[in-house]
Formats: sequence, C-alpha cells, structure tokens
Amino acid sequence: MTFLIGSITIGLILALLSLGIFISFRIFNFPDITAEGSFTFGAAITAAFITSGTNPAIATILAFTGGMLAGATTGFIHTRFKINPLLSGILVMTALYSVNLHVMGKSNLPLLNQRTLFTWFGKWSDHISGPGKIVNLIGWSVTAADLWTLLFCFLVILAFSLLLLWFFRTNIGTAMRATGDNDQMIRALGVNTKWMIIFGVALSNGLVALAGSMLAQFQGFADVQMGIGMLVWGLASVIIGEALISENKLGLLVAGAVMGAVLFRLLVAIALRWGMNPNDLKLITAAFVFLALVLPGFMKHTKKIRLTK
Amino acid sequence: MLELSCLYKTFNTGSTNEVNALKDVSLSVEEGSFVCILGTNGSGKSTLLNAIAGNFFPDAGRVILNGNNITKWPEHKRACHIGRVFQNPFSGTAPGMSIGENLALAAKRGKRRGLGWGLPAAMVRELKTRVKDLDMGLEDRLDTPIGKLSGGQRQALTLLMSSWLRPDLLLLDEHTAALDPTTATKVIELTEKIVCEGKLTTLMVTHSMQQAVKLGDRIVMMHQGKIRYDFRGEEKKKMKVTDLLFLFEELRRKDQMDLGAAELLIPKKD
Amino acid sequence: MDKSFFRGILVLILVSSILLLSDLGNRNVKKVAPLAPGNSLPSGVRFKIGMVHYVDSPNSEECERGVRQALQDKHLREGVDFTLKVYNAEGDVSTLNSIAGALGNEAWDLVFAISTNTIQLLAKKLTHTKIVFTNVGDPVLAGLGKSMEDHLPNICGISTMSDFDGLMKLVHYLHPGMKRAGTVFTPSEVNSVSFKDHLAEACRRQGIVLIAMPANTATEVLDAANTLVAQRVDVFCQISDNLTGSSCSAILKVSRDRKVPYYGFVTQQMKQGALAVGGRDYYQAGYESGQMGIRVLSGIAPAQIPFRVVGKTDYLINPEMARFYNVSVPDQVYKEFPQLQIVKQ
Repeated sequence: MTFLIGSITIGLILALLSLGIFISFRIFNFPDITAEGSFTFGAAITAAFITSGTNPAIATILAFTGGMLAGATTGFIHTRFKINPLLSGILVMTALYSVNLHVMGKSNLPLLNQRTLFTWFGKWSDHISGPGKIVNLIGWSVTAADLWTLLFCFLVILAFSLLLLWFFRTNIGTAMRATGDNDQMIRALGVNTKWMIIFGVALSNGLVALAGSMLAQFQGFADVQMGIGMLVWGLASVIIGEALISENKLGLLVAGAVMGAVLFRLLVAIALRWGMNPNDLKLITAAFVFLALVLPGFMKHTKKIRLTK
Repeated sequence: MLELSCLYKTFNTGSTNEVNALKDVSLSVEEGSFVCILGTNGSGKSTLLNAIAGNFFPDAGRVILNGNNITKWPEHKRACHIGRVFQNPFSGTAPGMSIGENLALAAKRGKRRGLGWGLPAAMVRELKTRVKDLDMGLEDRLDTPIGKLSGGQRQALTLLMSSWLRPDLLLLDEHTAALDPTTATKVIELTEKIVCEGKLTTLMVTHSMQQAVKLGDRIVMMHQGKIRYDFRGEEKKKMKVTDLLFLFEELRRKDQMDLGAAELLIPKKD
Repeated sequence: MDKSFFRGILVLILVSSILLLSDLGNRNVKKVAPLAPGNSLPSGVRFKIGMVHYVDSPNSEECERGVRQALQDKHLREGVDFTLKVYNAEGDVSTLNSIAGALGNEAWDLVFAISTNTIQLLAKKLTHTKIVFTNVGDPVLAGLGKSMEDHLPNICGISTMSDFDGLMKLVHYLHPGMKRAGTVFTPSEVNSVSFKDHLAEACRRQGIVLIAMPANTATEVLDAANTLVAQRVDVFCQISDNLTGSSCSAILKVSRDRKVPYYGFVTQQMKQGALAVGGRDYYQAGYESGQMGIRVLSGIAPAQIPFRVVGKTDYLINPEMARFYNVSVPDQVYKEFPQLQIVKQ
C-alpha cells in the first residue's frame, strides 16, 4: 500500500512534466526537446538555493522562472533565427547541461537535511495528526506522513491544472491555442504568433522545471543526469493520457495528461513488483506504452465488427 | 483606400526557379470599390494579395492602406485593417477549436488580447444572432469543433469572421475555387451580401469569369506579373464572359510573338 | 464531467488494485522483531536481503559477485538461509525512486546499495532499514555523514576511493623525469570530480602536473583520450568512475596505439593491457561489504560500524607491457614496493 501511495505521489509530481510537454507538443505543435535540460535546471536551481539557506518556496518559484527562461530562449532561437524547432530545443538542452553543472557547482547535490517544501508540509501535518502516526487503510498500515505528502502533491497538481484551464480560456490563451492549431489564421487575425510561441514554450518549460524542482525535494538530492530520459517519460504519459481520454476538449485533455502520468508510474510499479528481471524493466514499460496506444483502436475496431454483425 | 505603387517581387532570385511574380504593379482602389482580379496561371494574382496582406515584403514599391504606409508592417499588424478569406477552406479556421471560439477570436481581430474570459455569455448571444444570418443551422452548434464541418461551411464562417469587425479592406483569394458549384454559389451570395451591407472595399481574385462579370464594379486582368487590362464603371458593366475569353486569347497570342511585334498588334474586335 | 473522464479514473483504480493485489502479503503484518544483539547469526531465520544497482557496469557486477561470495563463505545458502532480491535502476533516476518505493513497502533485514546515487536515495527514503553500501567513491562528499565515523545511524559501508598516493609513487619511481600525467574524467559524476581532484593532489606531491580531460558520453571518452595524447602527457593515470570504467578499453586502445603508458586503479584493466595498476578491487569491495552486512545481520548496529575504504589494494605490474611501452623496470622496484606483484596479460 505504501508502494501504491508512493507511486501515485511520484506520478502526481511528474504530472507537472506531463502538463508541460502537453502544452508544447499538443497545444503549440512545437516538438520541444528542451525539457530534458529544463527538468534538471529546475532541480539544480532549487537544490543550489536551498543548500545556501534560501526559503524553499522561493527556491521553487525561482526554478519555475528558470524553466521559463530556458523555454523562452528556445522559442526565441526558433522564431528570430528561423531554426527548426527540434534543433532549437537541442541547442538549449545541450547548453543547459553545462549551465546545470555551474549552478550546482558539482554533479550531485544532496538535500538530506535541508528544509524543503515537503519538510515544511510535513511539520505542519505532524501538528494535525501527530508525528509518526500510522493509519490503517483497508487493512494495510500506512504512515500518515505519506498520505499527507500525497495530498500535498495532489493539491499542487490540481491548482496548476485549474490555473491552466482558466488561462487557456482567456482571450490570450485562446489565441495561443489557435497559434498551434492554425497559425496562418491567427496571424490574419492580428496576433503576433512569434510572441505566442515564445511564451508558450516558456510556460511549458516552466512547468517542467517545476516538476524537476519538486522531484529533487522529494527524493532528497539533485543530480545533473536527472533529466535524461524524462522527455520520453513525459511524452509517454501524454500519449497514455490521450489513449485514456479520446475526446478533444481542453479540460479532458489536461485531466488526461495528469492521469497518464500517474498511470505510467503505476505500470512501472507493477513491472517492478512482479519481480521481473530488473534488466527487462525498460522493455516492459515500452510494451505497456505500446498496449496503451494500440488498445483504444482495437476496441473501436471490435465494436464496429460487433455492430455490423 | 488602397494605393499600390510600383510593386516588384521576385522569388528564388538567382536560382533556376527564379520567378518574377510582380513586375511594376501599380493599382489604386477607391473606398467601397469591389475589384475582381483575373489572370492566367502564374500571373501573380495571389502574389498580389499576399503582398498586400503582408506574407512577404516586396522587393520594391509601396503599399498604402487608408493613408498608412504599410509596406514594412508585419502580417499581424496589417491584420488590424484587413480581412482575409483563403482559397483553402482549411486555412481560415482553427480545426481543433469550436465555432464559438473561432468567431470570438475573429471578434477581437487586431485588438489587444488580455486575460479577459474568451467566451463570455454576452459574446455567445451576439455570435448566435449573427451566425443565424448565415442560414446554415450553425447557431445551435457553437460548441462543435470546426474541423467537423464541411469545406463550404468553413468558408462561410471564414467569410463571416473576416468581416466581423468591419475591415478597411477585404481580400478574397479564389475563395470558392475548392468548393462544389452549389456551395460555391451560396458562398458567393453570402459574399455579395456582406460586401454590400458593409460597403466594404474588396479585392477578389477569381478564376471564374462568370463571377468577375457578375460581381463587383471593376475588373483587373493580370498576366505575367503585370496588370494588362483595367475595366471600370460602364465599361465593366458591359463586359461579358466572351469578352474576357477574347482578352485571354489576345494575351496568349502576344506571348507567342516577340515584344516589338506584340506592341504593334491591333486587337481584333468582333 | 464526461464519460471518458470517469473511464480514465476507472482505469487508474483498476491498475491500483492490481498493484495492491500483489501486496496482499503485507496486509495486517506486524513489523519484524529486531534481532537480539550478539556476534553470531541467529539460526533458523531466513533473512530478507535486498540489493539495488543504479546502473549496469563492470564494477557494480563485481561488487555483487563479492557480496554473494561473502554470504556463501559464511555458509549462508540462498533460498534457505536468505533470499536476495536484486533491483537495477538502469541509470534512470525515476526508476530508482520507484525501486525505493518498492523497498519501502516491505520489511527488510538488510539492503545492499551499490553506487552513490543509490545510497543517497535509499538513505533518505528508508530511514528505518539497515543499509550497507559499496562502490561509493566518497561517502562524506555524498552527504552520508560528517566523517567516516560520524555518519547516518542506519547505514555503513565500503568506500572505493582509490589509493592515489600509492600508485603515483610507483609511477614517479618508474618515470623519474616525467612532468605530465593525463586522465579522462566525467564532470557529471560527483565521484569522478572528487577522484580527479585527489589524483591531482597526489600528482602534485610527486611534482607532476595532472591534465584532466572531460567526457560525458562513451564516444567522447575516445576523443578525450586522443586530446590528452595531443597535449603530450607522459603517461595515463586513469581514474575510475561509472563512465570511464565502462569505456576504459577505448582509452587503453589509444594508449597502445600511441605508446603512452597506461596506469590504472582497477585490477581488471591488467587484462586489457595496462602497464600497472593500484586497484581497489571491486570484487573485494563487494566482499568486504558482504562481511559488513553479516555483522549487521548478527545484531551490530550500523551506527557503530565506521565507513571504511576497501582494505585490499592490489598492486600489479606487467613487465611485458613495460617492454612494449619502452619503460624500464629495474629490479630495485620490487624492493621499494614489496606488495607489487607481477602478472601476465
């Protein structure tokens, strides 16, 4: 049960990454590789500031800002210098690697005894339920601290989802969605698509950096190689989410991205739990994603066959 | 209203694909005028519209709209004054977004967009009323994603969107070319209605000589990047499709002779 | 709220239930009673031991082999006296997190953590589990304690920090006039940077300058090695980290092709043509951590076991390779360095 709670918690943290990738890949149609670098960038900034004594909330906000800067750079390179979006992302991601090393000062920053958002929340929740309390959840014993952490992450992701949903229904947000949908049209309606793209990619990377920051605080260290492979995880989560939710409404798509992230971590957890050969873990997760992609189409097909019989 | 002076544009300069799309094109359009632009293939009709709209900057020449020199303005800045309908019915609307959202975007053409709610209730009411005028039954389907509509419906909506806020200039780029005849007729009727009601200055590029003859008060014929014929007023009213066909023939014949002889040729008249 | 939203929630609940089903064994289970203190292993108890790798590398595999051998040498039979469950994060931090979650779900008698990233995460997440680490270059730098003695109460382990001074003395003896030594290092591995700095210090003590070339991927290692030769280093003194450890054959090839003698810190590299090594044996490190683990299982608290550098350093030299590199090995060297052993490739 603790394992389940932990997996869902990590899934919710990484749902921020999933949302960020959803914004750049799906809303703006901008294949953005920067995420691999900005994820670590967020973790690096937060770890560096926390270890030098800064308030963890400020350190987290700075991580978000840093991510936005990285994304804005990618957007700027693309719009101003007409460089292909993939290449722009690769350029910034590569540069960020060195930047991250500079920010952290070394390749691995432990946060074991530092104040983080999680220790803050932990102290507050300890007041409420008493320290070290164990709760009985349908037969399994779980620490109350774990449940509180889950709640915290859930509230964070809920807040950001609602914020995004609101934003993308405002005038400027709707114009942004149109930029990704049909940029010729929106230009003919007077929108400066260059700024829209820059802001959109910035927002996306801000969320990714935030995910990195929160994961670093959760796991207790920041490592310069944290971001490697994160883009693939994020994309897989978005795709699984779309397979779950086959509608095209914005609210559902956002919910789908979050659910996809959580589902993906759960699938990884199951693969681990079945005690499969640890070397096969990545192969199994690839198989799961494949199933998630193929299953909806297959179900539609069998429904059609049944209907025509 | 619109003043084009000595526009030049060459694409792919220096390569084997070099195309002199516009060669010293000058045109003056009064406010409220409805101009039909005809021409042979590759004559530069669409290029002319794109030059006015700002898809590219001309190599030389000026574009002046309503007193403003917009030659160096980027596309989105010109959009404050210009409404456009494209040849491709898919170019004018955002397929993933609903009818209501598309129209709401058009309702803010050229205006600053902030954090105000994109589709407030008052706007929805206004949308319903104006969409009803289209007579297509779309006013009850404002939530439908536009991608589900047919080409004709999308083009009608694009027309509505381009003229929602009265533009200084309406650019129609062969906007019925990709539609079937029935739908095309409907869209043309709609075009006439909108242009008439709003007294809009309009430039319509078309391949259809029937349309050119029937609509508007001026015909401009282009060939190989230049304006060759310009008919207005009474002269335009008297033009028939056969007259236009004859003019096209003339242009083609002139092509097959050397330039000097072509100038001397007296046009045959039936 | 749409149908598909609820369908999504349903799928999540379904998958969560599957996960819970696999956990039924832990339902209504009381925590395992602590072992009685003493120096002998209680008999008749089946120990539940876990092991976590961060990434596949020759060093990690050697460590695991050493651990298993240590357990075997104490007459503990797998399946009978203990169960050993091995996890591998395959270099992915989020998988490592999931593994930590999986471990936290059960009660373990002992967990072996192999590599710095692994122990850093497990020390934070499994505060009530006894953990023994190995293949960690610098435990203090990794945040595991204020010093080798004053450390986190639930962990102990073996550091594999190389013996830089020892090898540099040998190198300096064999190359009295040398000025520059070269090494490839990996800036993104904190141990690598630490080793490089320690090696630079050891070189300085012998009056040698260390040129260190960074590499981030296996392909860059080859380029870095070639650059070092272009910068006219007299010898390679190659530190060992996750990247250079698994890519050392690239460096050895450059060394052979360009006739720049290669000295290393890993004994296996003798088989690949190193001239001499001063190797912390990773197998030995695994073995000693296995022994440490057995002490923990017999009831000694990890807090009372200080971190230790692996006790055995093998100094090996290959006179044939020395001839190949035109390095003369006087007989005096064996008197100066009595623990030096001759090996063939």
